[in-house]
Amino acid sequence: MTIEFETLAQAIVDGDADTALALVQDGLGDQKNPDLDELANAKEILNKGLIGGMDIISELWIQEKIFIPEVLISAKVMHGCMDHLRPILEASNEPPRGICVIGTVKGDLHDIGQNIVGMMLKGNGFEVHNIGPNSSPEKFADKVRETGANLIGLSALLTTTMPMQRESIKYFEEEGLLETAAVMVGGAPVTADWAEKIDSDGYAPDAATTVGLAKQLVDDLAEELGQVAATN
Amino acid sequence: MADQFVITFQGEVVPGGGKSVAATTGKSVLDAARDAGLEVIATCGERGRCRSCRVKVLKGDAPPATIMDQVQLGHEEVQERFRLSCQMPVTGDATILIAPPKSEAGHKVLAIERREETGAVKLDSGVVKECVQVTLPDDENHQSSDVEELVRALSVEVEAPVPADILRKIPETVRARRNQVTVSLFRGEIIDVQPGDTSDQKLGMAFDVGTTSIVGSLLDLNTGQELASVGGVNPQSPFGGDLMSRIAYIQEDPKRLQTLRAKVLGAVNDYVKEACTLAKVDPQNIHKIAVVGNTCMHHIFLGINPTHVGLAPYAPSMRDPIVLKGSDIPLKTVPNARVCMLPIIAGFVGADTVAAALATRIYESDDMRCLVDIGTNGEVVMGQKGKLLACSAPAGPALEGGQIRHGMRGALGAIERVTIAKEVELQVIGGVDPIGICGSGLIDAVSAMLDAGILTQRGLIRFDDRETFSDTIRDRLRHVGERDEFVLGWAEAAGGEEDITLNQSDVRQLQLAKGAICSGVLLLERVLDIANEEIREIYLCGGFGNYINTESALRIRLLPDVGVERVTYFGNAAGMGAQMALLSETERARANDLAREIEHVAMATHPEFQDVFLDALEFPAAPNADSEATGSRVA
Repeated sequence: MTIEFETLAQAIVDGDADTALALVQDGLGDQKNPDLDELANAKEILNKGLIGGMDIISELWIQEKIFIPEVLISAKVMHGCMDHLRPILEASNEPPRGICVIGTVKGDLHDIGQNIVGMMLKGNGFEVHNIGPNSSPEKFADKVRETGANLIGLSALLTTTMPMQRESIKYFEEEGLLETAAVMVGGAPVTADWAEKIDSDGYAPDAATTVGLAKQLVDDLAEELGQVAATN
Repeated sequence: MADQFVITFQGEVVPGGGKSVAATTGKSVLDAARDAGLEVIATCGERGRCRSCRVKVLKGDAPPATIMDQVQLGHEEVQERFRLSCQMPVTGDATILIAPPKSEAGHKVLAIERREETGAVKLDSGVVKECVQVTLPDDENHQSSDVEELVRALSVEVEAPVPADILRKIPETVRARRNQVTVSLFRGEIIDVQPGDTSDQKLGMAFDVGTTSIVGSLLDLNTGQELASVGGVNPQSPFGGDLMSRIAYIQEDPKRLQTLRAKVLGAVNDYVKEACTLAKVDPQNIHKIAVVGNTCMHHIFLGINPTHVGLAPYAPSMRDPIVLKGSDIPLKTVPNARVCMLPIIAGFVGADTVAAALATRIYESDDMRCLVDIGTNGEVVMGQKGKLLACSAPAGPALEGGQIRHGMRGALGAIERVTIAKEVELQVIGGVDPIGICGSGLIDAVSAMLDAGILTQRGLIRFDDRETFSDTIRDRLRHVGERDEFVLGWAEAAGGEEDITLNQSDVRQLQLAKGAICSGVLLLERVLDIANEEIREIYLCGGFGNYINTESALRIRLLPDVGVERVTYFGNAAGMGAQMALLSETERARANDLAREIEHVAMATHPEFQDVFLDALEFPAAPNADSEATGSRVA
C-alpha cells in the first residue's frame, strides 16, 4: 500500500516537517516490496506528494492567504523531503529537468525570494546553482559556462536594481550565452511588462509559478535547439 | 508618423474643470496629463502597482484593460471604464476624468511641536544683526572707504572678506537712511546689509524635507519663538511614493533629477513666502535656514544625483554638513540667507535621523534608549551615552496609507481609530463620513481584528471560518475577486459610493511595514546584545506619530513588547532637531559630532536579518490566548 499523498501534500502546506518526513520514509519503505519499482515510487511521492503540496502553496499565495514565512517553512520541509528522494532519483541516471543558475543581481543584497525559488526548482528535478545576492553579470556568466546551464534566473528586490536585470541580459547576449540558455526574471517590484521590455524569456510573479515557467522555458529551448539541429 | 489626438481632462485636480492637450499615439495618458500641467499622483512610480493614478474614460474608446488594470482595479471598475493612466496609451480623442486619489484637501501634516527640551536650547544661532551709524568719509584727504567705515562701526569682529554681491549693495545701502545700516553676519562673515534699523527682525527657518511631507517653521532667532508653521505634501510624490521609486525615476533619465529638484526647491520657496505672509514679516530678514532630510532628499535638494544611493552598497555621495548661500542652492526667496544642511550618517540613515537623535537627546542618556522614526523609510537609533547604533527600516508607504486599497493620508475623512466589540466603531478625522483609512486607523483596525479573532497571528483574514462569528462580523467578511476582505465601513451607512474595506493584500502590506520597523529594533538589540527589558524607553517619532495608538502599535508588534509605559511619543523629532540646529550653533555642532559617532548597522547583510525579519512579520499571540482567535494554518 502506498501512503496518502494528500496527507503528505497537506503536511508540506502546514510546514509540518515531522509528518512529512515520516510519510516520505514510509512511502520509500514500501519500495522494499520487490513488486514496486523503486524509481517509480520515488517519482510518485515527488509528483503527487511534494509537488502537489507546492501547487496548493502556489494557489494560497496568489490569494495572499499565506505569507513569506509560511512559504519559506514549506519550502524547507519540501527540501528536507527531497534529501530522501534525491539519492534514488539520481541513481536512476536520469538527466535533470534543467540546469539553472539563479541569483540576485548586482547592487541588490536581498535573497529570501530567490532562495525559495531555488528550493522549489530543486524539488522539481532541476539542478540548481544558487550564486546568491549581489551577483554581477560576469559572475552569472562564469557559472553558466562552468555548469552548462540552460536556464538563468535573475532576481531583483529593489526598484533601483531592476535596470541591472536589463544590463545582465544584455551582457549574456553579447557573450553568446542566450543561444543555449533562457533567462527568467522575478522579484517583488518586477512586472510582466518589465520582463518583456528587457527581452527576458519569461516572468513569474511567485516561486511556485516559477517552477512551471522554468519547465516551459527549458522545453521550448530544447525544441528550438532541436529544430536548429534538424535544419543544419 | 504618430497620430495626434486631443485628450480633454476633467476632475477636481483640473483647474477650471477642464483642460485639453494634444497627445501622440502610444504616449501614456499619465504623461499627457503631465504635459497639460496636471498633477496626477503615481505613488508606485508608474509601474501599474497601485491605484493612485486611476482615471475614468468618459468619452472615446477605452483601450483594452492591461493585466495591471485587472489586478489593481478589479473587473467591475474595468467594466466601468476605469484605467490606470500610467498603463493606458493614447489611442484616440478622449475625455478623461482624473479620479482624484482620496482627497488630500485636509492633509494633516503634523506640525512640529516644541517641547520643553527644545525651548531650553541656548540661543546662539550664529547670526548677529547689528545696526550701526556709518561715518562716511567727508574729506578727500580722509583715505578710507564705505566698507572700511562700516566695518569700523561694528562692535563685532568681521572674520571673512566681504562677499562681492554685498560689496555691490553697500554704496547705496549706507546712504539710503542717513548712514544708518543694519549689518547681518553669520559666523563672522557679513551676509547682508540693509538700510535703517532691522536688528529686531532676526529670523530663520527650519525645514524637514521628508519623502512624503515637507514641514517648515519660521523662528525668531532673537527669542527662539515660533512665528509660523507651514507644510504639505512633498510635490515629488507624484513621481514615486517611496525613495526607491524616486531614485529609479532619476536612474531612467538623469535629466529628471532637475525636475525633482525644481519641485522641492519650488515648494521650499513657496513655504518661505507663506510663512512670512502668515507672520507678516519680510523674507529678507531670514538669515539662516536649517534643512534636514533623508539622504536621497538631501542629495536631490543639492542637485546631486542619488542613483548610487539606490544600489548596493548604498553609499551616499557626501556626508559632511555644508553651509551654502541661498542664491547658490538656488532659493530665490532668500538669496542672502545661509542654508545649513545637516550631516548624513549613511545612504539610508540621513540628516533627519541625526536631527531626531539631537532632539531626543538620546546621546546623553545613562540608560539604554531607542528612537524609532516612522516614515516611508523608517530609521531606528539605539544606545546610550557613548555608544549609539542606527539602522534603516524600509517600511514603505503603508503606514502613511500608501499601497493600501482604501488607504489615504491622515486627512479629512480618514478613519483614524477602529474598535470592534459587538459592532465596528469608527472614528474619522473631522467627524465626517469616512472616505478611506490612514496609517493610525490601519494599525488600530488590525489590532482590533486580531483581538476579535478575525485575523490570525499569521495575518490570515478568517473568511473561511466566517460562520463561527456573530452576524455583524460574518456579514463583513467576504471574498471579492481573488481576495478575502473585511468591511470596515458600509457605503450606505457613510453615504459614500464604495464600502471601505481592508483586504488580505492590505494586511500583507501592513505586515511588511511593521515587520521592517520591528526587525530594525530587534536587530539593534542583538548587535548590542540586550533584551527588550533593558530598553528604558522607546521614542516613537514621525510626522504622524502622535496619532498612533501605542497599545495598538504594541498589539500588532510594530515595536517589540517593552510595555506600553515605556513608549513615549515624540512627534516630529527630525523637525524639532532642525529647529534646534537653527537656533543654536552649539546644537548644530553637536549634530556634526553625532553623525560621526552614530554607528550604522547594515540590516540586509546582517546574518540574522532573515530570521529576525520573518519572525517580525507575524503578529503576537492574543494576550488572553484564545486558541480559536490565534488560529492555525489555513486548511
